[in-house]
Amino acid sequence: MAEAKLSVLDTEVVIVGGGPVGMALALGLARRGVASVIFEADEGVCEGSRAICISRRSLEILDRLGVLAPFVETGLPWSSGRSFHEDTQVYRFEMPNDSDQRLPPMINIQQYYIETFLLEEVARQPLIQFHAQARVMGLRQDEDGVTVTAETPDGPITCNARYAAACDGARSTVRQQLGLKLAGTAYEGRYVIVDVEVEFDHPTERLAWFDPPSCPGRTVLMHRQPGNVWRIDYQMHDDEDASEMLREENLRGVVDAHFRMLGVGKPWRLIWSSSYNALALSLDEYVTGRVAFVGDAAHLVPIFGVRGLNSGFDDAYNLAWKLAASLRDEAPAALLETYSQERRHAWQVNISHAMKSTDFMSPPTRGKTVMRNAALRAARVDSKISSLINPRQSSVICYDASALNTLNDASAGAAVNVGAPLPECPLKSLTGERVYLTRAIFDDFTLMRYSEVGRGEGSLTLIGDAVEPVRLQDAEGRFSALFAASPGMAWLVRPDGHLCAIFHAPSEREIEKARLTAMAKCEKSGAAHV
Amino acid sequence: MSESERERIFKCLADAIDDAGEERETLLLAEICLLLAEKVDNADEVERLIDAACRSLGGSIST
Repeated sequence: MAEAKLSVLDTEVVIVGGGPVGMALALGLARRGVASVIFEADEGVCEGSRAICISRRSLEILDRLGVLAPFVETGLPWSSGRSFHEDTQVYRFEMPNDSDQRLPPMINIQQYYIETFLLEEVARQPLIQFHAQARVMGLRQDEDGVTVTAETPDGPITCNARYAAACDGARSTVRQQLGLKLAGTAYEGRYVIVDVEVEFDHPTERLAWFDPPSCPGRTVLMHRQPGNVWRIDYQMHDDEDASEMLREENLRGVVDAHFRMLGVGKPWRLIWSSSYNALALSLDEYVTGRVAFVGDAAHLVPIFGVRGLNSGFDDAYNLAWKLAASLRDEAPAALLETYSQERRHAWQVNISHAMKSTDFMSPPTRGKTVMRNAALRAARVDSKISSLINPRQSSVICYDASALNTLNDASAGAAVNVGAPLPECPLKSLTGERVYLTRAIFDDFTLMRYSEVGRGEGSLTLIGDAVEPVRLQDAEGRFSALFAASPGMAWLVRPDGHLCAIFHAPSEREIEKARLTAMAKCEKSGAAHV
Repeated sequence: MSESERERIFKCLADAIDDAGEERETLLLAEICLLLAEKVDNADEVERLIDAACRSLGGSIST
């Protein structure tokens, strides 16, 4: 038998895992001129809806990666949700969605669409090599780089790179190769998830039932998806066997009963089913040597509150510019360490909310069960108690304590403070067209300078590296109101859209020092490494 | 009460119920109710809330 041909690739970053997070990272790197090789074990896109709720922040990131259009065309936008106890509505929430916003708070779209759209963009990028059916078998690293070997149908491939990114999910091969383990909490509560195709004309919103008449004693969630597909999640009882619950006749029984309760009269078709239990697990560090862990490979969050893929996109976007700067030798190792610090902080904030939601959806103790059931009833008597039913949807994370922030008089009590991602703000170009702030900033650092142009009207100038400044009009006064802006103020925005410095009439030296701080080039004493 | 305070009390009560165990949880909750009723210091209001809770379970109290 002929020996399989050994292919050897050389690249800058090898990405293990070609799911949404791995592809987002590759696209973020490509926008910064960094080449990558992606090894994906599967042949095509995923089966089943899987991660279906994409947040506004994720949509902003996808826009910066150049892939927003198909998401907006295909996804179903939504901004509200309702919760029911038995047959009574006990809670309604509305996500922030004022007239300043360009994008909806959330869209529903199946993960196979997410992967398809990202894959199409990856295929257009000459700096990205995507290898499907490439199962990683080994990884070794030294102080100079990483070597990853993968088995493919055409034989083994070895990829040499300066860095590796593990984007290979909850059962990460890279994590196993490096002997690393996730730690945290695994909840016992289990859920069945089902995708069904049915004509059911109902607005797109999050729907949750506690102890509904259709399936007493269970918690049920429903989400509408594109293409007349509905996602239904329902709780398994402790004594139920998962494989039995996933048998089609049992699935049909639950879905039929729930659809009867809702008055869904049309026939429906089962598309996909699976099960899950909520996990809140993480690595202690997200960078080990020259390997960065991203998304589910680094951390797991309970499904409630839709923080999984959304935090994965934020991980990738945080990492991309830091890896690029490291590869260009523009920043010390400390910059990559801030990826780990900031995103681990994000995981901790995420699970602080998600675990409360999980405790409510699937109470793990008798005490929490009693209190959950009492709260659902008491909410009908006193609506203030319904705040306990809040599912705590995914929200943006601020890096308030990041070492990359500049703290000064201007940042003390600022309206939009250092560490926060830029809020959306409508502005106008000099020719009067509407321009949105989150779209207008540059891929690298952006300095925003505010001035007045007479008659109290504000002007914002965006200054970047190797690009012409962009002057925008704060015609509606929205920027001024949002940022409590006054003439002479300036803000330094990181490549991932987070604010890192605020100034009142800064000198060039102050701006440069803030920039160096944001690249982890300043010691705490204030000495800068240039 | 703020939302975070309400969540704190929710957790505190849940932990107390777990600590008391199933055999004593009713006694625990009844004791807490009596203590809180004293703090409310308005018998009519307390009775109204007791009745509302009973009604949510399909019953009522005669006052």
